[in-house]
Order: sequence, then structure tokens, then C-alpha cells
Amino acid sequence: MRDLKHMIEFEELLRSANNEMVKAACAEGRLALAYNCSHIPEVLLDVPGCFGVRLRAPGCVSPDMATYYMTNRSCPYSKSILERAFEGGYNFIAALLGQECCTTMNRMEQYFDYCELIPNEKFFVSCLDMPINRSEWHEGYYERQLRQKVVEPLERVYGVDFSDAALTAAIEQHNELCRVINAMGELRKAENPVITGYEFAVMQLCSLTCPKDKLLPLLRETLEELKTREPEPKPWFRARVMVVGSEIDDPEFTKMLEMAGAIVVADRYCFGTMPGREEIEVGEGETPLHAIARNYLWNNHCPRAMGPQALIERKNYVYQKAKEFGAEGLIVESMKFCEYWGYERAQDAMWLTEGYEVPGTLPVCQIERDYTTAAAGQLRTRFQAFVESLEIKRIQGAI
Amino acid sequence: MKKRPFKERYPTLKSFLKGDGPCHYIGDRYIEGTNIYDRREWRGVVDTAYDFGWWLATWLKMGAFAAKNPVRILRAFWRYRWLSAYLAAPHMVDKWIAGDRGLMLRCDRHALNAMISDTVDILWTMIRADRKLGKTKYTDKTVAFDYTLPRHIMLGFPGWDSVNINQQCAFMLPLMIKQMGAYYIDQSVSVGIPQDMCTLPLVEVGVAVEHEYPDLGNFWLCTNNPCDANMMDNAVMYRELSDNGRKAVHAFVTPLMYDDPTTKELGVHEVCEAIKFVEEQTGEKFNWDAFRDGIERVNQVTREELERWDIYATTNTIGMNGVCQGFFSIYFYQQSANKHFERESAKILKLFNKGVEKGINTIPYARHRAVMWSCGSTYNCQVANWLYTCWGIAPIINMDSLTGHNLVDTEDMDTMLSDVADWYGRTPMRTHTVGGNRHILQVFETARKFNCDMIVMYDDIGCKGMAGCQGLIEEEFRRHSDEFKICWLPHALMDYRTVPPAEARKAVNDYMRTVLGEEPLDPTLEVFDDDAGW
Ligand code: SF4
Ligand code: SF4
Repeated sequence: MRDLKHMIEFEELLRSANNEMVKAACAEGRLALAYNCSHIPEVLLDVPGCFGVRLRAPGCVSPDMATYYMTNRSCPYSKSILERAFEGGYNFIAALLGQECCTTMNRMEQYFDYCELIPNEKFFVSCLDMPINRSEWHEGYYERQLRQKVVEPLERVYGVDFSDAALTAAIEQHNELCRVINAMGELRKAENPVITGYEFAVMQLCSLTCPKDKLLPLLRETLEELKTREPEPKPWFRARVMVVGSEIDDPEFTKMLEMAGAIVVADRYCFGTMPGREEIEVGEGETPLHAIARNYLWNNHCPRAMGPQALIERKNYVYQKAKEFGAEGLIVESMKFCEYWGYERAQDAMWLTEGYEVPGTLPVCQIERDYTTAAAGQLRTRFQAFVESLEIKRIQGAI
Repeated sequence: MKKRPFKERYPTLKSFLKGDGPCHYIGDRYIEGTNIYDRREWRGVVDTAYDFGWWLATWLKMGAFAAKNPVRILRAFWRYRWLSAYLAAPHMVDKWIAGDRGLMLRCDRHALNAMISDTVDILWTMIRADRKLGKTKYTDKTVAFDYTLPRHIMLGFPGWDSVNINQQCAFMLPLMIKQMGAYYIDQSVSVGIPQDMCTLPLVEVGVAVEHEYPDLGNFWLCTNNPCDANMMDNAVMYRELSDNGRKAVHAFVTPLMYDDPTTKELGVHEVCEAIKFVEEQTGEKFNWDAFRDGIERVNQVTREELERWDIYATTNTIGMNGVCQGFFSIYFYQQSANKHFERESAKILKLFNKGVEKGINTIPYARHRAVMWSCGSTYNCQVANWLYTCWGIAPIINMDSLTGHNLVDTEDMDTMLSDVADWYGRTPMRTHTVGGNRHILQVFETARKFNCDMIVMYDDIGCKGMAGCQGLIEEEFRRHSDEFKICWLPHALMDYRTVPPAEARKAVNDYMRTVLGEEPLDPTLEVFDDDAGW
């Protein structure tokens, strides 16, 4: 396929957290509001005068300082973010909106304060307590948490405008971004898609880490380009897979998987679009903040949601998305030392291969990974073997 | 058994009769390669007799348990591997009271009596209700709680039994036989759960993998207490504990930022929701009067505990050793109002007060008063006694003893709910490890409050919450190094293979010799091989 016009620019934007678009937005006097977790509604940080940046630490291979602070037994994603903060890679951020969600991430976020990592007197870290159960009542609680832990501190310290009009504008922009990204994502459903999993991952990552208003024109243009893009004469891949798991903010992971002969047609991981790219509808008589809380409460399929309903729902979410996008198998990954995904991964593999509480079965390849794709050789072999097994299954008519 | 001249062990007749002296030569009593006594510890005439009486009583209690329904219990032994660990309970008791004399021995024995009596009750409550052993009239009337979820709301449902299902079936196992924890950890790993997770939930899951949880009741309350790992184990145990979805499951959640005023409403809401769930399942209305009465009884035990803290803080009448004190508090925390704890707590406080009146120093050979911080080990919990008997480090208070001690204001329903919510959020292994770094740093004010010159910091290598704040702790320790001596004590919570007890002792030995330049009180305990022990 012909290269996408803006692909190099997108890739360039992912080389550093403080990329050209971020720099330009900061130069305009806008506040860069950092966050790490899907429980923090990015849309809330995209109100006029601000923009949300989901932190990444591209190229971090040896987080030495962070290992001193968090040992070699902590999740390498959290450590890499901390390391990059020590290196001064996030000096541009105005605040870090965190959460007591996974303890490791929360510890990492607290070091921003404790070690005074950001040279900005007004910088602060604010953590909210995310609900674990879900109900109408919890929507309200979540909304109040957002107000007390995100809205009020930002109003107080920086005078950020969180009026209904400002939030409505942010929601509109968010929705447009979702429409564009989802339209691209839908193209992956085709038998011979005009977009690769890698290209899609790159653009989705940009959408999480760049000011959306600056990125949207490029995304719109790329969508148009994709509509007329000629696919390869024959599918270039040997199997279609869905990736499920924790933080993947390194598009090289997807690239490696695709070099092993698979196309990633669905991305149910933190930093992916499933969930995360759902449009927010403001109901009648509903405040925009409540709509945001409601949306992020119900559209979150994090393993930390408890109770049978959430548990069964999230397995079905994976199953249905896999079917919808024609994935023949699942790559379920977890970051090393991650407790949420360490358990979830094992359970996903058991339930989905057995078809327990889901309508059918799916082949699963489980992997445990580091932050970067440093151990690429080993992973590549696993992926190749999985692709082959999917091919064999197809030949035997099992899938 | 190692031979040592009598004269060396007891230089005077008095020292023999009283079993006293800084060195008890405890290491001489171990069967080679184990921590199992070849003969009982000599504590002097009176104390040995006193202890022997209780030892017999433990066996009697176990015998009485077996006599309740020998056939059913035999079948339970056949079916549940974990149950056999309880046969080693008398040995566990010996480990827990090693070195105890006089008042401390008495207080610890009373504490143990509460724990043993209650454990016997709970084991029987589970076995008599277990469908796997045959349905009985108790089966539907028994409610399962996750082990890290206190059962206080059940006080409002008199007539219903409840158990912390994974406490007896999982948590307690390595306390009695360390190999037992390792067995179940391996079962978890065999189904794909990474081995580097915290080993406590791994043991719990391992029991589920082996289908070894009793099948009782018709619903189950799980929780996010105390940490991410323990929360996730509920998800993977879902099939086993819900009997493949046939039993209702409710997630009784507590806020992580439990002392942040903005989260109070969540805590209260979740208590109410849990009560509502139990009402729906049992078809009974929550009985507020019974609840209030029960909470008053809990308050009484808490008041007694708080009185003991004052004594710990201001005197050397440390009536309970590090192990018994910690487990007595943790155990009671889960149980709520309970006749055994109420009875024994009152007795223990009486003994404490008597000791204070008489000015009894229960730690006469202490060189250091220590606060034990972070999550402690199970298979090596007795290390707290070893610290004293070997090095003269007297554990004064444990981090996990300092949980669930808020008095519940029973004035009206709202205050009661609000305080009970606080209770639920402050579990062992949680109060100080979540909700902000400031909680873990309370170690310093605690050490000051309890008049300690030393901090013994447990280093659980599987605990992700603690791993995440290692550097913070190191830096704060350096800042406080003029004020406190600080020693790390590594362990792997439930897996003795990862950090064997000997390795943990070595870390202390090295610190005591090289940093503090001290000699052991009991050299037979400094280095010994207990790999094949329990
Ligand atoms: S990968 Fe796991 S441990 Fe790491 S931040 Fe995410 S949820 Fe937490
Ligand atoms: S040791 Fe840590 S990870 Fe393990 S159960 Fe306790 S708090 Fe959780």
C-alpha cells in the first residue's frame, strides 16, 4: 500500500512527550495537563486553554532512578514514566491528574510531588478515588470526585474555565475525534483492510498525547486518504488478531506482531480505542460533567471493576469485539509485575478458550512483557508460533 | 538435640527453677534441620507447668472438635488438604510463645486461647454447613465473606452464621506448616497466574484451583481490601466461590483513599449496599438493635486494646509478644463481636494492669524497643519472637495491630454507619499502605509514640504497594537515622522458598553485628538450619 501522507509526522510526534504540537500549544500559553490512566477522562482536560497529555516514555529502556525508588519488582510502565520525569521529559506539564487505582501507578504519581520533579511552582498532583462498583449512584460519586479532585484544583490554581459551555466544547471536540478515529478503526473490519494495525495504533497514540485541535486536521485528512487508498492486491497478513491487555504505548509492539504475520484488527488495551473512543452524549437535563462521569464509568472495562456483572461483561466485550472485527485469535498481554492484568490475563485465557460465560471460544496467546519491546526476539517467536497455529486451525476449519 | 552441660544452661538453682536468664539456648532444642522442639521449652517450674496445661488444653480443644461429628470431620480431612495443617497447630503455638515467661506467657496464652477456640468454632461452622460433605440445616444459613472483609454487618442478622472463607482455608496455612502455602501457590501458577504476584492471594486462588473451598451458603461477599492483588483474586475465584454463578456475589468495596473526606460517602454507601444485598439474599430485615449491641461489644474490646496501647507506650510491661499481639488484633478485626475475644481481651487487660501495678518488666533483656512495620510474614511470623530471644529486640507494636481501632459512635444510625465505614476501610495491610504515602510514613510518629528506638521494616518482596514506595522509605529512613536504628527484614509473605526464614534472620544478624556491633543474647539462635521444619 502507498504510505500515508502524514505517517512520518505522526511517528515523529510519538518520539517524545514534549513533541512539536505540545510545544506549540504550550507556547500559546495553554496548560498541559498530564494523566496516566483511562479512569481520568481526557475530555475533561481538553477544555479551552488546556490540553490533556497521556504520559508516555518512548525509548526508556533502563529506568535506573525509578528502580531505586520503586525496586525491580514494580511494573515497568510506571517506572518508565517516573524515569522520564526524572530526566526532565515532562517539565512542560502544569498538573498531574492521578488516581488511586492501581497502587503502583499511584506510588509513581506521588513521586512527582515527593521528589519535586516538575520545575513549576504551581505544579500539583491530584488523585481521585475511582469507584469500583457501577450504578447510577456511582455516576454521581464519580462526578463529585472529578469536581473535587480535577475541576476545583485547576480552577483554584490556574483559573481554568470548567463552565458548561467549556465542557460542551471539549465534548464536541472529543466526539469529533472519536468519529474520525472510529471511522479509521472500522476499516480494519474489511477482509483486506486499507489500514494496518500499526498505522492505526500510531494515530490513536497521537490522539492521546497531542493537543486534539492541532491533531484533528491531520487525522481528518488521513481519513479521507484512507477512503481512496488501494489495499494490497492480496491480504499481506496470515492471521487477524485482537490485542487485549494493559498499557501498550509503544507502536513497535504492534509492528512486531504484524511483522510476524498477524494484523491487529482490534485494540482492547490501555492506550487503545476499545474502550476510549466512545462519543459522549449529554442527556436531556444532564450536566456535561455528569455525562462525562457516566460515560467513563460505564465504558471502562478495566479489570479493577468488581462483581460478576462487570466481570462477565468485560469478557463478553472482548469476545464481541473480536467477532465484530473478525479477529481469529487473541493476544492477551500483561506488563510484568502487574497485578490487575496478571490475574486478568490468566482468567481471559481460561474463559475465552473454554467459552465460559461467552458465546463461543477463541484461541488465546498469553504474553508477559516489558515496557519497551526490548525482548523482541522471544516475543517474535511466540507471535510467529501463534500465527501458525491460527493458520492451521483455519485450514482444519476450526475457526 | 545438642548436648550442653546443665551448669552452663542454668548456672544457679534459682535460674533453673525460674527458667530465667538472658539466654534460653532455644536453638539446642530443635531437631536437627528443623524448628521443631525435641522437648518442650523449659520455662522454670511454674511456667512450664502452666504452659503444659495450656498445651494439653489445645489438644483437648482439637479432640473436642473431632468429636463433634467424627465421620463428617474425617471426610473433611480426606477432602481438604489444607485441613491437615491444623494438626500442627500445637507446634505453631510453641513457635509463637518461644521465650515467653511470666506475665507475657499468660497474656499470650489467653490471646491464643481466643484464636484457637474461635478457629475451632469456625472450622466446625464451615464443615457442618459444607454441601460437599452433605447438606444440613446449616448449609443455607451460613454466609461466606472474603477473608479481608470484616463481618460486622452480620451482627445485624442474628441467627445467621458467617465465616471469612479464605482465612481458615488459605491464610492460616503457612502459620502452621510453611510448606502448605507453597503447595497452593504452585496450583495458582499452574493455571497461568504469574508467580511474582503477592503470594497471599496466590494461596487463596490455589485453594480454589484445587476446588477445596467448602460449599456453603447461597451467596458470597467479596472485597477490594486490602490491595490490588487481593481484589483480583476475587475475580479469578469467581467460578469456584460462586459455584459457577449459582450463588449471588456482592462486591463490598471500600474507598482506597479511606481518610479523604470526599470519599466518606462512598464508604457509607457501600456499607448500606452490602446490608441491602444480605437483606435480599436472606429475606430478613437488618436488625439495627442487634447491630448496635454487637458494635458496643466490639467497642469494648477496642477500648481494652487502646488501654493496652497506652501501657505499651509508657511501660516495659509488654504483656503480649510481637506475634501474639499482631495476630490477636488482626484476627479480632475480622471477626467482629465474638465471645472468645471478648472474654480473653478482658482477662488480658486485667493481667496487664496487674503487671503495671507490680512494675513487672516483661522484656528484661531488651536492648531495643522496636516497632514492626509493613506487612509481616506468615511462615516466618515467629521471627518477631526470635528478634527478642536472639538479639534482645523487643517488638512493642506491629503496623497491622494499629488497624480497625476506631470506636464506633452508636448514638444514631448515621454516626454508626459512618464509623463502621471507617472500620471497613482500615484493614490490616491497608491502613498504612494505601491512601497516600503519608500513611506509610506514620512509622516515625508511631515509633515515637511507643517509645521505640528501632524500626524493623518487613520487606515483602511480592507486595507491589510496598515495592512502589521503597525509595521513599529509604530516603525517609536516612533522614531519621539519628533518631532510629532501622533494620530490614525480608520475606515473601506465604512462600518460604523465595525468602527462607534463615535468610531473613541472616539479614538481621548482619545488621546487628556489623552496624550495631552487638552480640546475640542466645547464640544458639543466631544461625540454625530450619529448612525442613514447619
Ligand atoms: S500495567 Fe498494571 S501495574 Fe502497570 S500501571 Fe497498568 S495496571 Fe498498574
Ligand atoms: S502483602 Fe501487599 S500485596 Fe500482599 S496482600 Fe498484603 S498488601 Fe496485598
